[in-house]
Amino acid sequence: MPKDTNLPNSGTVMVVGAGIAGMQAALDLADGGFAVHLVMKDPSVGGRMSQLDKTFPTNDCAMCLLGPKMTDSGRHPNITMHSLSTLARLEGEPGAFRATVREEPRYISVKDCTACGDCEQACPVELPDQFNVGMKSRKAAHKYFPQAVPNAYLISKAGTPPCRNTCPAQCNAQGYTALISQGKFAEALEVARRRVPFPGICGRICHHPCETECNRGDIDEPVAIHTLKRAAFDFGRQDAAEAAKAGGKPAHPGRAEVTRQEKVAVVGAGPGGLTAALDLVERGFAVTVYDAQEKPGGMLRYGIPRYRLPVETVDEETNWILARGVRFVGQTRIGEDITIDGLRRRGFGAIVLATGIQKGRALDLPGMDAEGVYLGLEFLRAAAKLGASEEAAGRAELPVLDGKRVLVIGGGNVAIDTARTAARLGAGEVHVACLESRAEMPAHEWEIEEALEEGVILHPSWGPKRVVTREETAGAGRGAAAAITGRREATLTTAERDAAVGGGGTPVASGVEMLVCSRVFDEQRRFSPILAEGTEKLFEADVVLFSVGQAVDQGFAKDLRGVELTRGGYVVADKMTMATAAPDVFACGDITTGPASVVGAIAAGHEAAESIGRYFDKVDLGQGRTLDRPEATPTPKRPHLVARREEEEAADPIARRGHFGEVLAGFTREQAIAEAKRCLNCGDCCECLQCVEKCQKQAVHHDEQPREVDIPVGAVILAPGYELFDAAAAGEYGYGVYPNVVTSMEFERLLSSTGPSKGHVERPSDGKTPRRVAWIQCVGSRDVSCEAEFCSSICCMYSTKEAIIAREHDASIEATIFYLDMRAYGKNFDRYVDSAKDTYGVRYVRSFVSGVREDPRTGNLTLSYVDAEGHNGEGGAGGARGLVRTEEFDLVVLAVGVRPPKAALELSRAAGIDLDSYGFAVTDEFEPNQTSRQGVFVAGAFQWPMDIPESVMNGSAAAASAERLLAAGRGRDVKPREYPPERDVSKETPNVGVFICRCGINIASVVNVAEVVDYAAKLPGVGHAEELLYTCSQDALKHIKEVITEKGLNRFVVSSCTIRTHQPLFRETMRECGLNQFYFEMANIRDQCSWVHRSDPVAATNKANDLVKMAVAKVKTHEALELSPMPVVQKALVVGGGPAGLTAALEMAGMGFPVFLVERESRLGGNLWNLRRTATGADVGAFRDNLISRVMSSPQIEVLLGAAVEDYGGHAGHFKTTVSLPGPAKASGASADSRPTRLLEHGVTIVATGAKESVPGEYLYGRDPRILTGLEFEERLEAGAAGLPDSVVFIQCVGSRQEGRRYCSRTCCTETLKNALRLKAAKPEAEVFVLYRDVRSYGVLEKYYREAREAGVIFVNYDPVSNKPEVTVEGATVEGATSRLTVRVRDGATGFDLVLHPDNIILAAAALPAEGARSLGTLLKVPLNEDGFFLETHAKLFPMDFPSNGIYLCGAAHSPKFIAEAIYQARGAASRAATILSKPNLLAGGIVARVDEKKCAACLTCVRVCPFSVPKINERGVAEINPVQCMGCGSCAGECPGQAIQLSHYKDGQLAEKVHGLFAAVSETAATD
Amino acid sequence: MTTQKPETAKAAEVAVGGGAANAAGATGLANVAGAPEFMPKIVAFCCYYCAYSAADLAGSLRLQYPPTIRVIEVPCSGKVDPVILLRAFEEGADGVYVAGCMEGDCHFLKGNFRAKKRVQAVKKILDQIGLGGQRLEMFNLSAAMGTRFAEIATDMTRRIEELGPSPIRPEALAARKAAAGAKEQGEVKTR
Repeated sequence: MPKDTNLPNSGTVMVVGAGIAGMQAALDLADGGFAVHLVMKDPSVGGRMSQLDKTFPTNDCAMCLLGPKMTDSGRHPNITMHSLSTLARLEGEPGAFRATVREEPRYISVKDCTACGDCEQACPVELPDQFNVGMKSRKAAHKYFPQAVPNAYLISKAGTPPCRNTCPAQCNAQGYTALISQGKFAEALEVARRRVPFPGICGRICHHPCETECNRGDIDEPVAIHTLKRAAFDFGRQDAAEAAKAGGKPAHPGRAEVTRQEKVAVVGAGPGGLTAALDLVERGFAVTVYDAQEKPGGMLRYGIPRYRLPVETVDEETNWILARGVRFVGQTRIGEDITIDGLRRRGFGAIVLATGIQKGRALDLPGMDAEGVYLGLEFLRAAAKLGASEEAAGRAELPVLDGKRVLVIGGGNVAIDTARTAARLGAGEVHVACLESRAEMPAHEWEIEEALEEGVILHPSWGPKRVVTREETAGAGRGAAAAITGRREATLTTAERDAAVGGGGTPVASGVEMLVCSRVFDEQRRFSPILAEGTEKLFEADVVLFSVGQAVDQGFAKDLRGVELTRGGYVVADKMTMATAAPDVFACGDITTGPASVVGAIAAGHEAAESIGRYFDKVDLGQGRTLDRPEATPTPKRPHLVARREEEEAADPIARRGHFGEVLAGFTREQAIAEAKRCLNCGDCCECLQCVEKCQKQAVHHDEQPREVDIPVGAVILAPGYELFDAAAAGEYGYGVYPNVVTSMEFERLLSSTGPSKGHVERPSDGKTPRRVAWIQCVGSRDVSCEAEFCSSICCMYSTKEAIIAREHDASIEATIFYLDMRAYGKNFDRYVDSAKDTYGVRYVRSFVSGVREDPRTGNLTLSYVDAEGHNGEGGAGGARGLVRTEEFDLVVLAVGVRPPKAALELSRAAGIDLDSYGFAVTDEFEPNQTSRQGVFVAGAFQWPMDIPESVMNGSAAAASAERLLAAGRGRDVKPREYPPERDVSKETPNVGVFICRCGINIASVVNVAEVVDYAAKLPGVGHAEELLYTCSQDALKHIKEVITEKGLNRFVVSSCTIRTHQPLFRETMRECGLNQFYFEMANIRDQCSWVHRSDPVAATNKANDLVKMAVAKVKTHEALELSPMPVVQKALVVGGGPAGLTAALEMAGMGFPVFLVERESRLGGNLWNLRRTATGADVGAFRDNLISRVMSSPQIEVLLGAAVEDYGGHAGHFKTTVSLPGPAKASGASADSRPTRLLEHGVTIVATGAKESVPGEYLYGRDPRILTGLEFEERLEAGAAGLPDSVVFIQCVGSRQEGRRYCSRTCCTETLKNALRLKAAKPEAEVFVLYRDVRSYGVLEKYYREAREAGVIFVNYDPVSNKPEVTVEGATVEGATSRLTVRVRDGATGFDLVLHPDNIILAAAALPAEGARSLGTLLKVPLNEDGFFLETHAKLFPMDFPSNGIYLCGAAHSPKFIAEAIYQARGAASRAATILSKPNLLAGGIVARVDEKKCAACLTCVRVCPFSVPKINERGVAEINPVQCMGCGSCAGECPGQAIQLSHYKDGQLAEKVHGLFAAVSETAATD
Repeated sequence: MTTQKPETAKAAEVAVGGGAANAAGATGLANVAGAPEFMPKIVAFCCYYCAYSAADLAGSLRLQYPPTIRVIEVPCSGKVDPVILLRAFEEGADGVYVAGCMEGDCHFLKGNFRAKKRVQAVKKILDQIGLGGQRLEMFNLSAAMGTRFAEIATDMTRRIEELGPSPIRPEALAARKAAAGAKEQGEVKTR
């Protein structure tokens, strides 16, 4: 093959999309010596086809067909996969592009994942499974589908959910919620604790902004996130303790190890300080926390009343932190006992200031120093000490409130806490007055509500003017003493007042004079209260508690070296890094912000700790940090059931006033689980990290980021596939409203054994098997209102298939298909539809379905439709026009149409190509794979809607186009692997190495691996046995190689998983060790043992022993199999010189391969001489002439005209063909024997013999010159407008779709539309009738059907059985005015009989296979179908291959088709052929059948049995099986009566040994025991 | 080999304690405490493209079936020779089945039809020699039918359990011989 290495052409191609078209292109290219980058947006190859249950028209299992191609793509050394990836940019020129690929993270390393599924088991998040179109759920950690390639798990993430995004501490609420939903409280607690070291506290007192933002709030009510956090704490610590008792992991992780030299001092043991301390301890620093109080907790302990937060909880949580190794020093006040400099001198490398704000703010009002006036904060602190060791002290600080009237000034949370605490301390009546209106009160609503329940009386919009003393009120008299409110008169008597006067002579407060507050905030929302003078009112009270804010305790400010303070005394700290002006001092919590939330302080603590770590590590504090929060994820678009929010129990309001017991009870376990299940899982993965913990391979990496990679490529193939129409957009069918209306893909999944119902057809509403099932065709196709003028090409057939398969599943199902035109235009499609009708009893109703209504009681559905065929066939004749009928069904399936891929627009921009008006890639009719940009090709349904075989052809064709472009780069970018020379071990005694895989815990948790190793070690012939954690890991493979070499092993058994995925890897290892790869055997003790016998470990272990024993027995009989190179004649033979043959020849020549082009006729071009225009109006003649001249001028192509194949022999890589050539002129009548012949030697053969138009034998064709075939009429049209008829009748299906020729000729409908439109264009007044059975203008051709109707062409449906058109010639049959053509037909839609007298009748004559096809088939030993067209290996997956290797098929020889279709199939055939021609040698041998000539009786059994016609009786009179052609199935070996044929590697003796190994060894070993 | 000993003993026990018929219902499916245990050994010849793949799928779906099946992989069910089927019984298999692709779906076009014919022929032989054709079966399933694989394994196990151990299991033969010998001496020993 010529190679010009100086060309810039690369040898690398990028294929975007890994459905069937993309995989086909990639495999062809890779097999042809190109490096391929396969870029797919899905996590796996397979595309749409992987979701299908069966395929039409063969009813093959889709996965059986697809699986091998998927596996091949996955392990092809020349294919690099990029999953979850898209093409972002394409720069450069053809041959030298630079493609930028954006790869989304999978979060689980493909390289390391063993697909064991442990992550999935651990994952708590259930999401709808897209693979099952949402009909089943899957976990966030999942495998896309069981057979996915790459065979690896991944995690889906959808961003940060609002709960977590809103939380100042970024607490992972979705994480603990998801775990609680699974009842995993201990795990939930761990997750909550990661960002909030006080989950029990925050679960009680956090103001939970997460709930405000919760997306669930848009549906019904937010999830009770903070109560769930409390549940995580309450139950999680119980569960953890129990687990620890049962020998699980300890409930507390213990002291963190000190790994760093540096020491850190934290001043203040509130939430911020303790968070920072804990983080720093976890990072390995030694941390000391100082606090003025005796115990840690700060405001948690000394500010929050115990009815909200029990002190036990504070003790437990602070102790938890201290137990991690935080040193706590109490009763040490900064500014008094310690100073910053002092701390520095003590060796603290960094200091955190987290003192909080300890002082209540006092107002500058007259009378503030009166007795009975207190600050709320100090009051609370004293109250908080009650019941603890400081009780005495607490009591001393507290006023006696028994029965007294208490007035609290302030409207914040502290005020409410103060009021409720006062109530609990025995106050008689508690009033709260505040500046703000009720709505403006800063206290949390729920706190206010609870206070009101407890009898606290609110006075909003009042501001204090002065404190009134008892002396004043006593003097003023009772009348002047205004009522506190209108509710109650002041009741204190003078005696009481006197009794209460303090002993020290200080004035005693008796109330506060208040003013009405008319506003609190100005327009800028600044605090600027206006108190209305003259509205004075006395609020009488014995005790006044001011809770109007907090102030910094200035005491700490002494000796703050280098730390800046604000005017209010707060520490100036960076909002993001918490750094102060002093480099070694950081600050967090209220001391930097003023009074804020607990969770805010926690957040700041985390940041301070992070900064200190960076400070010590000398890393920039700001790097990678931002205050910006990303946009939270919106409500996920999936169906949600409305579910009520759970309510926790609250203590009785009256009773609870009497004590400090907790008001709220929290959830019960059951409540918590139910509530957690309401979570919408907005982020998909909840990042609980259970998977990380479970994955023994450490393959999970949650921090993976998307990345872009630049890849130099020479060409790009776009095969992104298609989307399905969103059925909800066609509202009349009730999809999404009525549960029993499903889409065809949903039904497909219902049929699939891996689907939601395991292959049982069940109605979604009630799970019952439906009896009457209806399919509605053209949902979102052929419908301008759905933005789809085009036909989706595949729905008629897939509905037929679904109906058949449904009947196969359950014969009681009655299937009805409502359709417009049955478009069974492909190869064997009509037969398939016929079998659906005749064999399976599927009912087809030609109709327009106008709507679907549900009966809500039964869930059944009533279809209303206009019967368009009521007048055809029996029963309907003579009825009214347009029969409207209704019919009831149990299940309705919508045959949803095809749409361009959603990402088409982005992809077109990235690749720089044009899209058509529908959104498909723009291509040229004669260059069907070429996009608008050179070097970028398209394959599959992105071109236009097409089925699987067309996609395969198309994929191969695109590959061929790329190969032609990059012909010089073939082989350049792929490197064959090199191996050491193989050691001959055939004479050595078998010395078997056995490696038993634990597969993490996948095998080892069930099978007793150690026992299996012991067992294996004792088996005869075993020289080494050991267990490995993961046999397939790189280090394990390295170890195996070492062991093989060290111990001189010559056989190798791995006992692990499946040969399907792992045998190639281990065979590779053999080769790397210099051993023949066939000295290997696998025992599958995972898929066949540990996974399927989990409940019986003993039996599973016994079975594993057996499987190992069998493998060892067989491997000892293995032989080295050589793959011997057979030279390839790198030339092609193309038979047929029509469009397909010409294209194939040019394609091969363009790739650099010499071609013999053999044509029977004396000129090239075939049918291109008969066609004038294509439907689009393109000039066929010009195309033909161009094609022929390129062929004739190609130095690579030798054209042999008037030539015929006479003899054919050889095999793939080297065929020998004898062709006869036209002899001398005199030989015109001579027989072939006398013609000169020529022997051609070539490596491949492409059959492109084409088809021809039939000569109609009916409708008086040939009896009247006015009756023409389509091609004849086209000829007339081309001649010009003059002499064109005024009226024509086209009759369709002449010779097609009838007895003896039960196939559709595919092109005639469109040809008729084309000719009708051309006639109308030339002569708009011409009357045109088309008598048709189904108008099969599939795909984008549908537009011509619409145009024809718009142009006034009249379409009349006829039925070939009951109502076939009749053609007669009335009057004289000789030329004369009285003779006229008459066509009689009954319109199937209306029932009217039509009598037409056209000038011309045009017959759409059937396409027939070319003459000589059958004899060529016999010579080549390739099959033909009953219609005389060549029969490919497999209708779906190998539409261009023959069973015999090296022979390919294209064009109308395969089945009737359009020029464009012939072109891409021809290119596809060339691509297939190139997989052989690109190699100098084919490797023959390996697992093939071999004949023992001595035993062969030449009985012909093998010749008869071989599905590929490989065996032949040779000149020695015995069977010969060419190893190049043998496919290795062993059918001949199984059948050979003399056992003369053996299949290598599966010889009878080898299998017998395996069987023997299973049974005999038992008694042998038992006997020796 | 110590791990094998109990199993051998149990199989012998069944043979002594009343022959094949009584073993029905004891089981690899559900072990009845105290009942004599018969754990059949069934050899399954599975084609690579469909049945073997279906077994993998059953595994990844974690479907549970009795631990009685020993799979031998072949490239195509059409490879399975009557000789090897008979050999499996001769060695002592209690049951044997061949599992290939769905009819019409064979990766090698029609190997599974060949297999079907051969299985039919061998069933006849088994009937003739008194082993019973029911101990052999042909199944068709696709690569996507993991559930079916588990079902077949379960059904076949149940069927063989009902039929009881193969009378030509070596240990059964030995036990029978021993029993016959004991009878001759006029003292039938039971455990």
